[in-house]
Amino acid sequence: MSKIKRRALLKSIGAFSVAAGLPGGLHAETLIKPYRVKESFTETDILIVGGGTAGTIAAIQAGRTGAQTTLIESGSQLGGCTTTGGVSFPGIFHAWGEQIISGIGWELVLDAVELNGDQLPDFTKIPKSHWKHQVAINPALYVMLAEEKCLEAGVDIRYYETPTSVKFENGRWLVESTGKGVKTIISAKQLIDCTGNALIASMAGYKVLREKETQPGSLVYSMGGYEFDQLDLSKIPQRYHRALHQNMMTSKIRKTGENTFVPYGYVYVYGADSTTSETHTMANQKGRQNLLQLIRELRELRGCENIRITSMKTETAVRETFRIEGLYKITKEDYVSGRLYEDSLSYSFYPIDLHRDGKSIYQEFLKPNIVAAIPMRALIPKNSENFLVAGRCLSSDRLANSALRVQASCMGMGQAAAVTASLSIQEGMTPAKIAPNLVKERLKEYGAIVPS
Amino acid sequence: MLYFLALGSCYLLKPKIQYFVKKSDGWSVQFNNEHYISFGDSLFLRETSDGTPKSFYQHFSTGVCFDNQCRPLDIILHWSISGRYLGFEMPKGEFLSKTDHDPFSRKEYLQLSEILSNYDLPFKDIKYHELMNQPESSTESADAISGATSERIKDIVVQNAAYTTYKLWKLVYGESQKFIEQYTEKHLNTSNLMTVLNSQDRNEIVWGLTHMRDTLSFSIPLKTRLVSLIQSDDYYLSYNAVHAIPKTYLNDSDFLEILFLSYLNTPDTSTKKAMFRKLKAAPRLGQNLVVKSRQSIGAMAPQEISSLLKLYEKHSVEDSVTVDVVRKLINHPNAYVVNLAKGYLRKHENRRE
Repeated sequence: MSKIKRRALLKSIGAFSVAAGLPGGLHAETLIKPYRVKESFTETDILIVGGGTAGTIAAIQAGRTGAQTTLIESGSQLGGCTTTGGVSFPGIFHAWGEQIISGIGWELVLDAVELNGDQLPDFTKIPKSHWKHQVAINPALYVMLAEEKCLEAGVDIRYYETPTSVKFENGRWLVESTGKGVKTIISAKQLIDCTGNALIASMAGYKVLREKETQPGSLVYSMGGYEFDQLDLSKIPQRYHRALHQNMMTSKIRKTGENTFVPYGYVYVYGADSTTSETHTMANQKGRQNLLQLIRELRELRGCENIRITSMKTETAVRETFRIEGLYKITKEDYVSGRLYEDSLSYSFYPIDLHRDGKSIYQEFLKPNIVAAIPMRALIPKNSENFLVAGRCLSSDRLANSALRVQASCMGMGQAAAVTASLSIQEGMTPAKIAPNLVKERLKEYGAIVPS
Repeated sequence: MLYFLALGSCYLLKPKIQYFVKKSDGWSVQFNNEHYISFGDSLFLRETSDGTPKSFYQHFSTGVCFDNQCRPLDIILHWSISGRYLGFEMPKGEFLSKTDHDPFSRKEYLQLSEILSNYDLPFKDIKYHELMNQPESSTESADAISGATSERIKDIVVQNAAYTTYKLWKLVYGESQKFIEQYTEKHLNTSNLMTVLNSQDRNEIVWGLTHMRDTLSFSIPLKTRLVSLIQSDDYYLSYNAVHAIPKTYLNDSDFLEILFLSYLNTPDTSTKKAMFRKLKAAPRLGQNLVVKSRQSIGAMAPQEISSLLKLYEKHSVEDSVTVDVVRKLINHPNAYVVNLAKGYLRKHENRRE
């Protein structure tokens, strides 16, 4: 064997040996066809857009009524403000010593509390500060439990998708939903807009309202590396006191959440709007910039030299964007007087709470034994068919909305909207024509508390 | 620890002003059949002659200081065995006074006692010098802290007696109270747990429920009391009572049956869920419970059927009668329930194979 031949032989043996020693998968590389968006068509009974605070509950409830249910969520997990936004202390479920919101929202909160090894506080004791009855939860648990309940109820969850067109044709909604590598036409009998921004209502051609100036959003974070009690506040400019104090806050009477830390710290994000990808991107960027600036400034202060960020939420939580023009608009007077309607489906309990210019909050507390109610008509856009909303975009004036927007109220609305949609299918009529008493009875069967 | 009678009762025998909170059962002195255990610092445990702990008390001789002046305070504070504030006493002639040295009125004593009964006041986060608004030209001197009562506390102090209120509240919820709670927790047995659970005071009962431990020996009266609390209309008591169910009770099929019937009757979601968790944690379900649950399934809401089928799966309840009952759910008008039933039956078939 010549020298050259021998070398070639050895080389070929070596190559063979390497190949023989590797798992087959490493050599499974194949040329694939050019990327194409998968297009499909699907039918469902109830389509819910937005898997946030209200939408998650609406989806579970819709599934539990036996309706074929589809849920579109533009993010990667359920829960919205409660989880992704970091406001992981939903409330308020109790008022004046009694429970006023129960049902699926409460069931989820309870499961999260129990699975975290926490216990509920005594809600019969009326706290001086309303927020003390908000229930601290472990957001990671909440995300998983919400998803589990959706799947158990047969809900088809479509993450990373968003509707790009909405049409009402021949008594059905045709929604084009686009996501990573998919474009799906979803045909639905009933559509529930739980985007919080009335986005779908607007796309469907219904009137939506917005204030010239909206409340700021909040980017939730926590920081460590300092002791508030050790700081000489007289040497620290007043504008930093809130951030330094708020970050240290924990509820002394709250039993829930003993085993998890819920951050209270937040920076305001003016004009925060999660309606479109562009506005939402801007809200997140602004939030992060504001927080970065705050941290840099704080580290210049005496006693704060070692401050560091310990957690930050991935999205800015939003308080106010668009509201629908509904069959009924809840006014601030309705809210603070605890007005009851023939079609009241759910309660709401929170002070009027308007974050004005980022420097002050206008608050007006409900008088003893007053609890506000939410009528079915506030969830139905004017001139709509087979369409409902749930969550902060319900029909209400600005001040009423500043109280109605909170999580427990949104959960109650989600459940109410889903039951209404399900009954609409069953009765073959649009939600506005369903007898409220029928909805109320069905809601009670599913464990919800109906105003009376 | 010393058994102590003479000094402890000597003070109690003096005529005095007494203010006790409502429903503060068990504090009244019965010298003939009581004895006292001293823990030092004038802290005593009062026991009945058979050794049942009744309450704690402590004598304080201290001062309340403000405006560079101190006024002596001679007072006895009383706590329940769980550390709940019961009331205070002072020797006749002794009195509490306000900043202008006026003595407290009867109404103000009552107000003070009411304030002292609230453990959840912001005093715990307030420092002595924060009780008054600091004047503009404030210095670190004690003289400078005689401004108006701070807005933060003005509604929770006796008017013009912020320092006295604060001082007493700090004594009530200070080291002695912590000691009492820890002492009772350490010496908790069925007898004193029953004392706590039979209290007229709701907070006391909740304390007892949250301190029940599986290591205690449990008695029939305790079980009876626990059942009555589980069935209470007060949902917070009921919720805590369910949480407190010791593991040993979960072996008792009669107890589990009562728990299931209570589940059917309670309207409170939180309590219902806690009950189901306990039923799931039981080693097995009795036949009567299974029969009753089968009879109830038709009237259950879909989410309750879901819970019940999970309970059946956990305890492998798959006798032929139960399987037939679940099979009938396939004709349920709600597709969600139909799917639940199919899921149960599928798993049942898989296990048979």
